[in-house]
Amino acid sequence: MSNTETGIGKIAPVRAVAKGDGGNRTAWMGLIVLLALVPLVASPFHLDIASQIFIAAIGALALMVLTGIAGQISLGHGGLMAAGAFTTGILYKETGAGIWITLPASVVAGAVIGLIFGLPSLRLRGVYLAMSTLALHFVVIYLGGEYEFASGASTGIFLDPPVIFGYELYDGQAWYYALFLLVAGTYWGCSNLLNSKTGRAWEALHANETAAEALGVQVARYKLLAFVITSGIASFSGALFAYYQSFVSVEAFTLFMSIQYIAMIIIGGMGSLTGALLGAIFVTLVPYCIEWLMETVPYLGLDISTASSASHAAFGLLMILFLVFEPSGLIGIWKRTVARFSSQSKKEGVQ
Amino acid sequence: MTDILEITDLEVTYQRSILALHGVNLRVAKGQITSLLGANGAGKSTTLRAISGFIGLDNARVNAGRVRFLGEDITGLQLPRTIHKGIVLVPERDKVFTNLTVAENLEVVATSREEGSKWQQIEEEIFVYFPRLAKLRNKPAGLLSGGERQMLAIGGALVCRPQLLLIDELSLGLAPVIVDEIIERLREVHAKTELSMLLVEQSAAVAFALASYGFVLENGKVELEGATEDLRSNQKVLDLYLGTGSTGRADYLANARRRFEERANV
Amino acid sequence: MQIVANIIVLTSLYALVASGYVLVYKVSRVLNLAHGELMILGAYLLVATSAGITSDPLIAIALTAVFSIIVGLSVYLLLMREMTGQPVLAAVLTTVALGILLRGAMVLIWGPQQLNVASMLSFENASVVLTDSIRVSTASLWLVICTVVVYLGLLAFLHMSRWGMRMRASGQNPLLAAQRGINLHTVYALAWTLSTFSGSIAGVLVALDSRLDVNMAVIGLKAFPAALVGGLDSLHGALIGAGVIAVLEVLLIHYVNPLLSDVVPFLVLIAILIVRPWGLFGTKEELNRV
Ligand SMILES: Nc1ncnc2c1ncn2[C@@H]1O[C@H](COP(=O)(O)OP(=O)(O)OP(=O)(O)O)[C@@H](O)[C@H]1O
Ligand SMILES: [Mg+2]
Repeated sequence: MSNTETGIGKIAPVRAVAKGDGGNRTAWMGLIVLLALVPLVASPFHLDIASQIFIAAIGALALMVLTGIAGQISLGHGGLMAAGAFTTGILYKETGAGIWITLPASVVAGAVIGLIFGLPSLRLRGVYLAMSTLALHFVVIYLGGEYEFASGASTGIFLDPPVIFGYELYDGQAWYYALFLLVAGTYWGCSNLLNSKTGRAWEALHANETAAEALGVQVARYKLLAFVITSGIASFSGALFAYYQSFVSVEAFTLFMSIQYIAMIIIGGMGSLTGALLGAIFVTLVPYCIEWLMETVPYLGLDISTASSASHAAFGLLMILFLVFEPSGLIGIWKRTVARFSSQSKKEGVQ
Repeated sequence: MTDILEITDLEVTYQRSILALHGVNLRVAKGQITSLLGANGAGKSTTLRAISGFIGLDNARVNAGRVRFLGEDITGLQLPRTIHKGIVLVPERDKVFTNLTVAENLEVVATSREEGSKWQQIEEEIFVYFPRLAKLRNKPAGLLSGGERQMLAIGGALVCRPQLLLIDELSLGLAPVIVDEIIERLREVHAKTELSMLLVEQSAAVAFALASYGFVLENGKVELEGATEDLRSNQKVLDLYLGTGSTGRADYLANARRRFEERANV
Repeated sequence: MQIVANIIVLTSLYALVASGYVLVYKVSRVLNLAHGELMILGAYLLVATSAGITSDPLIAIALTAVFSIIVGLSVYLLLMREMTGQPVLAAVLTTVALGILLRGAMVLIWGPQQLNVASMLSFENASVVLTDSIRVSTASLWLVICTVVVYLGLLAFLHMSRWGMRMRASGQNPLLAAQRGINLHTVYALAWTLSTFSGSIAGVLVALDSRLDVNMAVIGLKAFPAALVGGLDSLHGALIGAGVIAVLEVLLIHYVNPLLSDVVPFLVLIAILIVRPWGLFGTKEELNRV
């Protein structure tokens, strides 16, 4: 009714933190060169972590665009990744198709599911939308499970390493470079998208849907577009995940995975693409930090069987801390620090 | 005659930038009904909210000036506190709990502990003031007509045992017959309790029928004040606020429509 | 006929859990996605009290009730209170975070293995023969009884007590509630407390009926569609929603495919969201608010 704007504990649109994220060109180039040199010195273990971060980053970028920019909450991200992984797995298992077929097929499958995910968003907002995406997560997982069951592959589907231009993507370094390029490409694509008319429309409908509609933004169209594009990307990262693990199973795509992606965008900082990258790094590293703690501080009483629970608890706690004390996330902390240093150096310059 | 409320040079901004009031001065005499007239957007509701306390979502701030209640400085006092002091507002919109019955609407109102034990008696008091409500006792408030809602809202506010009652837009969108009835009821309440009231109105006729003193607000400033008799003969007031003719009717239609939509939603 | 008994038991379970969602949503417009975990926490609290404080099952259950009230109150005062005035999205995500935190913490404290709560309390979960062809477990019978009592109690409280009316009033128009001197924090705290309390009852009874492990929190998610089908702000709607979900689930498992059990509630949820998002008995206006 009419007290929508005045109620306590309500709405006030989440303001998207300005995208673009400033950052000057040379710093970016330097970072890219640095990252390109990493495999020359890193151990296989570190390369593995890096590759996991890259895969997570692609998924996190997608969710950031959907939730952080366009304001459409999704609790079904794990389901979308499962869709990509299963499309690839099933195609490979049934037809032996190569990467040039499986990956585009995964993107298309994701986009189609995204369209289905998005349809409720035309009528639903906020909490209701979150629940419909959550429900679709369970449906996708159910279908995956049914396939595993029906095809007798109840332990999952095995995949051989993908072949690109006759080269088998197998060792850590190759994966590192391939995924690195894909992350860079996704980031570049997303930030271009945000600076386009589409991106502005998303921000408008995030800030105030009714106002956006009044201003002539085709709300339905852009909402669906947001779902379709980001679901395609998420599904793509699910397919990469499948190839990287060389294994697909519903076991991997729990609700916890969806929550991890949400943790990434919250911790990274809502509304910022760079935030999504930071969040992906942070969230991927947490379980390793906990393992490290387990080894170095033995009297904590953690062991292998409780490590995953410890990381669940840690995620929960971190998300709460960020939501309550630092809603602008890591990117917010970063920006404040930069601002403080630059103002300090200015002062010193004057003196 | 002492003033129960005294506002001096009040300045209020919304969202740190929109200046809604710039230097409002007004007083409410104890035991009297005072009116505050003004066109749309003049800042009447803002003034009332500044007295009864903004809430976080208003994003409003008192920039300068003072609000004094019974001699005590209450500038910027927040919502539950103002109620405890005895300042109660009948808001312009959403003035009843639509999912509660009429009786429940009166019962939910928080009263002090000692009053709480005899709330049934208080409720009966309200039904004496507004006999029409007594008949509607068990009807959901969402199904009431605009006039009945207004009575219920005033009744609910009275249960809070106010020392100062603030009413935002008493007559807005109500049929003249109903307005007359409410005016009559408020007069009775006032005769019995000598309750001080600040009445925001767009219709001078209604304001003059009840109030003994009045202020005219324009663009966030008090332009004119005086006893009702003086205002009554003021040409400017006559021109601007006594036209219950066409604008009154337009308001009535707009509000009738709003009510219809609200009811359709329930 | 056994199938009817099964439906009634499952309806009771979903209804009892769904009442927790409805209470919090109706009063504060927050969707509590940690409800499943809070429910299981109730069962673990029983484990803790019976192992650590008293061996008398009745005292243990009474203490658990007290603890669950404390938990509900703390969740509001320490966490959700911070989220008042924040975007709904942030509040919902906070409950998601709380859920995952509780889930991890419960395994860290009580271990990942399944616990046999009934034997810990030396509660004999014998099956009760109702008629020749119908038998249900003692715990299930208690579940049905508790659900009836909780619903009657809640309905009476919401409609007959002043605090109950204040809860309904605050949900409908929080601003006016504040303007009428109702302390919203008290009202919200009350809603969280009652919701956690009824959830804990469900958790305890489910744990007594089968085993207890942390994955049972998914029952919380499966009961959510029940709340939504009825309309998120309608208590009697939740009861009917629970019935709808339970009937479909039991029949589909029985006649079509047992694997469907995990997904039926969500299929119903999607269907209802498409056809009638505000549920069978919910207020239509709700949709614009979230
Ligand atoms: N929440 C708000 N945020 C920003 N500006 C506001 C807000 N509320 C009111 N204003 C502005 O403050 C000014 C005064 O508004 P106010 O509601 O006090 O007017 P009013 O005299 O009550 O008008 P009406 O007769 O239409 O109710 C208006 O220009 C209005 O646009
Ligand atoms: Mg006004």
